[in-house]
Amino acid sequence: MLQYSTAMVQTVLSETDERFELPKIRAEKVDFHYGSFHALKDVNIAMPSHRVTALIGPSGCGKSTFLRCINRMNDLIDGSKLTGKLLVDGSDIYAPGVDPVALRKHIGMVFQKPNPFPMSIYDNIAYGPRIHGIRKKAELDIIVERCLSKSFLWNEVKDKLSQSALALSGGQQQRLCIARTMAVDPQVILMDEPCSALDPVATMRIEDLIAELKTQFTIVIVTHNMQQAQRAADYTAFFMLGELVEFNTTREMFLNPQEKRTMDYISGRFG
Amino acid sequence: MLRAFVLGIPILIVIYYVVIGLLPFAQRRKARHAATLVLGGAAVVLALIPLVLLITHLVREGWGGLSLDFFTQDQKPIGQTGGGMRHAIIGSLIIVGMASCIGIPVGVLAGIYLAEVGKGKFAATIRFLSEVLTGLPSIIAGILGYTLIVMRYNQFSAIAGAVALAILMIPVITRVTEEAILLVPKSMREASYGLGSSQTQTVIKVVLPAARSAILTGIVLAVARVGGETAPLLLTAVGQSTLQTDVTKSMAALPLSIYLNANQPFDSSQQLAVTGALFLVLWIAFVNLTISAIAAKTRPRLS
Ligand SMILES: Nc1ncnc2c1ncn2[C@@H]1O[C@H](COP(=O)(O)OP(=O)(O)O)[C@@H](O)[C@H]1O
Ligand SMILES: [Mg+2]
Repeated sequence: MLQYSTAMVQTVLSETDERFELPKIRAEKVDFHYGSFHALKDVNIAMPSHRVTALIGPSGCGKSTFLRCINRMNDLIDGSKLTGKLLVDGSDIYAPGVDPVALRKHIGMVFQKPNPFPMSIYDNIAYGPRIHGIRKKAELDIIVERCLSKSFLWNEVKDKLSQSALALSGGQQQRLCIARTMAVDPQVILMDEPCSALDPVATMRIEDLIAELKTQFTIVIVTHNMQQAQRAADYTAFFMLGELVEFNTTREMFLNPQEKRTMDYISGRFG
Repeated sequence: MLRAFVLGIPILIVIYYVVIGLLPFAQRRKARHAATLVLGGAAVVLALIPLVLLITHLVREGWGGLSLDFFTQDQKPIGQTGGGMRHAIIGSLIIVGMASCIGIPVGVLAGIYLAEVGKGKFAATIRFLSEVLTGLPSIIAGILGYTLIVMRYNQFSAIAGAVALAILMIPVITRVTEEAILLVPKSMREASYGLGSSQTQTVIKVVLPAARSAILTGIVLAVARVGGETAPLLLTAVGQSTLQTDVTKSMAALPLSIYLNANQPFDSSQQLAVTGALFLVLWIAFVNLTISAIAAKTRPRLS
């Protein structure tokens, strides 16, 4: 069996509550439609700053949809519509006048399947900073090294920065994608099942990385894996059929679920 | 020959099913595989026959005429021997070059528009029109060039020819570009948007580079195809027997000169025509091969 040493110890120790600390992302009466399909129903939640919040629930319950509302990635889908309020640091990101392009600089995203650009490792990391106007090679060099080091990738790739990112293994690619996200200095990192395409060892390294990153970022992670939620997340939100059923510290959620549906789900009665 | 064809195919099909039916069940898959290979191979050979015949004919008749004179001399007055196709080669380069200057940017931009914005009535109309235009008989493009330019200025001209060729190029390039862009995986776009880039930045820095080799291939095919067109030029650039580089006047072009010379009853004219045809075929083959080699080398792998 694998030993999920660091990540596990960390979660067991950090079962914060204080009635959910400092909220970073707050949803108030959020409803979301894909055309006529009602994908999120009256979601109310407050996710604390500098913590890892896991979104769990049976597949198709709207976890990804909710995650993609937070950086307005769903804006790209025709006929989609959000009502209600989604606040980041107290300001509504769906208010008129908010530019989703500018918003996404502050709310980064890591996808289910590692999706490095077909460019060199260096250019992958430098892509975001370049977009945002950093041109100086020296400055970019520093960012590239810093982000790769933070994602525990520097030692593995420092001698082949100019090689194609596509030559890396799946796990390395995913850490590269995390590094690429960090390079634009976001406040929030959204991760949509970032380990589902990875083997257990690579998964463990990403979980270690997540534990490290929350000192600097607020992290929201979708996972279909309840062990992963328990290992990696301080807080857990359980979704079903587009509704938020329950939100609590991960510990409370798994030891002492308040709702019967949560209990059924975490004990594996459906899923 | 034709009768053998018409009768042969149904007979083959019947034989195929009879033989398969007679075989024990376990051997049928292998037999089907073998039959497919044989029939497929035969079809390839059949398809290649006309091509091989054409090329051997061109090489046999035309090779002898491929001399230095062919590239350095203009056509001699009708009936005199010798001469070359310099005027026509240069004319073709000028006309096709001008057509490319119009057709490539318009086609590529239209393709980007259709792929990236491409919703609503306006885009649907453009897409429909470009599909219709793809099948446009080339003589119609010639008539368009004639009506738009020649009639307005009362003068046959290389410009009119270039416009006619551009009209043929644009829909092809538009479609190739749109398709190449739509093939770029959604995950690439999302990665870029997720880092806070705008649609323009995403298109320029991620989508177009990923689609580049497909778009380039399409462009070259369109240019090469247009380089061999005769009909649109008949009504526009008309042709010249000497070197002429003023684009507001009628100008020679390789396919035109081939056509005009082939219609002359003189051996030397016909020699020029067949050598010109050989040169055109070699040139187009060369361009295609080069491009596929470059495309194969530079094609970015998409995860
Ligand atoms: N682009 C889309 N258009 C229409 N329906 C969608 C789209 N994306 C997701 N859905 C639907 O929304 C529901 C929630 O999907 P999703 O958020 O991806 O679920 P999860 O991530 O929890 O598995 C599903 O029923 C899915 O079919
Ligand atoms: Mg999902």
